[in-house]
Amino acid sequence: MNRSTTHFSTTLLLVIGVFAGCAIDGPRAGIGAVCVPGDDVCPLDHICLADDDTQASGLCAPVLDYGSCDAPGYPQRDGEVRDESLEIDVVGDLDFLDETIRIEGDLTIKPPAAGQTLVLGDICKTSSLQHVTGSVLVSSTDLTNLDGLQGLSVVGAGIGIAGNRNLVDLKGLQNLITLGARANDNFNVVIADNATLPEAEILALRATLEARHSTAIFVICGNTRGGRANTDKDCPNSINALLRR
Amino acid sequence: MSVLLPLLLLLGTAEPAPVPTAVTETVTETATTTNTAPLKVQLLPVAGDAADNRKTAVAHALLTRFKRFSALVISVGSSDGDCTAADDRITCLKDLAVAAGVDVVVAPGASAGGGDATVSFLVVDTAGTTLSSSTASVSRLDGTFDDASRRALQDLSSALLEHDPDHFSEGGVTTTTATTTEITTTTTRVDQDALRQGLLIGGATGLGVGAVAVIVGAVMGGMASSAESALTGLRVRYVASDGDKAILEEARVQQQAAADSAALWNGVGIPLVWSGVGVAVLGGAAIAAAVFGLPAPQEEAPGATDSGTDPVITDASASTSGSNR
Repeated sequence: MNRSTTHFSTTLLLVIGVFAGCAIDGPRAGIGAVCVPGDDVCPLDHICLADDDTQASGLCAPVLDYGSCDAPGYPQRDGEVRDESLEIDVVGDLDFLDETIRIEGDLTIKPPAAGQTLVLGDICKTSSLQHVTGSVLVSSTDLTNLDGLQGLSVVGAGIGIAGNRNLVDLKGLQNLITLGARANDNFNVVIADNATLPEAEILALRATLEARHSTAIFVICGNTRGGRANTDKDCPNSINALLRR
Repeated sequence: MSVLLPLLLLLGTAEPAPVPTAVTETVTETATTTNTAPLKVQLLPVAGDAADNRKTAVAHALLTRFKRFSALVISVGSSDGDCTAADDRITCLKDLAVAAGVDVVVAPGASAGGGDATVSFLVVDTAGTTLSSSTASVSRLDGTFDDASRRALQDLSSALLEHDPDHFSEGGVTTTTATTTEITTTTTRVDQDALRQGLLIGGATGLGVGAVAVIVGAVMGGMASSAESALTGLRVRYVASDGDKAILEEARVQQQAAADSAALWNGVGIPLVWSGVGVAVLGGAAIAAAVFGLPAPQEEAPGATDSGTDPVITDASASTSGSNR
């Protein structure tokens, strides 16, 4: 057998070995895969889309728009699970969220001390996040939007957006499908004291979430309404306490 | 070989190749009756300076040809009585025939002098008549001993047929006495030929079957890949449509198809591809072994059209009788 024949045979075997040896781990959950909200079946940049929170199952659907952030990546890949709460009080902590698909606990984004503003610029590194079993709080940051949270579809214990004085955009929360209540006050959503947040953004989010969560309790206070800032007295005491931290 | 033989047996496409060996076979042939009185012929050893294997081939060809004549009793002489060197070779051969009690003696010769291969046959009867004297010489650049042998035998046959058609025609009923022939038969060549043929057939079959298996497996892989690609396309359409739920439902159906095709690929396609590759490689190895691994086929002995065996006359003193049919 001459050398060229040997080389050809070797190359053929290598090619076959590379391309034929790989099993398809399927069906890999992508668009159209049947899922249950909160079961984390859907891959990164997908949400488990159900018409409302009464449906036991839905279909994995790609996140349509991450706003000013890039999508976390395609084709699909598995994310990581963080098995404890995460508190982000410096911008570098956002790196902990890289490709994190689920947090077993709370996600808190706020400055280390009251009266400070946490300078982040953006929270695009949350774009992999789909599921927080506890609560989500974004407080006293310099964020103008919540882009990056478009993949977040399940929050177990309520969400609070408060004291973000530059915030003008809530579209990052538009894919919340399953939304539990806060443990201490039973509110599902608190949007408070975001001084520049347009009312239209709040109403749009409320309409979206109420369509899915007919029983959700919203607390909306202290935000800009029609260009006028509300006062803290519009907020329940528990919220004031939250804001005073 | 230990790998290839089971493959051939497994494929069932080739007969098990006999193990190359050398055997001595004893052939007992029973007399039959004919109307023509048999002519007793003695074949003398092949004289000349050719190599022994060439002489053997010439003797084989001669014996094979004479066995096809219709009414002969053939014996093999142990010595040509130094007739080769005799001044009057014809007389010497005549005396030899008388002494041996045969009707005709055949004195073959093979030499390789110069660049030529020369084969000759001289046939003399008890009356000192030369029934046939044929010589063929072939340049070794252009031909082989077998070519010379074939030509000389052809001339010999023609001359004998013309001289005595009753005894030297092919076919018809033969009269012989019951006799025993001891022939050392080397089966190596025929075994190797059978092995080569088996390897080629089995190898080609393995190569074909393997290729088909690879193709079928690859088609399954292609189906799985196609299903995945279809999902990717649906994703693009879904995003472009700003979240059309009909596309999502279409994707749900496609997910099932992708799951099925992926399962087919994982469960059947991959094993099929790899087993196909294995069988094809073995088939290729069998072919390579047949082409490169076995010695080249030996040249066919002249006139050896009946069995493919190589009889080698070993006991020239024995009364040897070959009969056709």
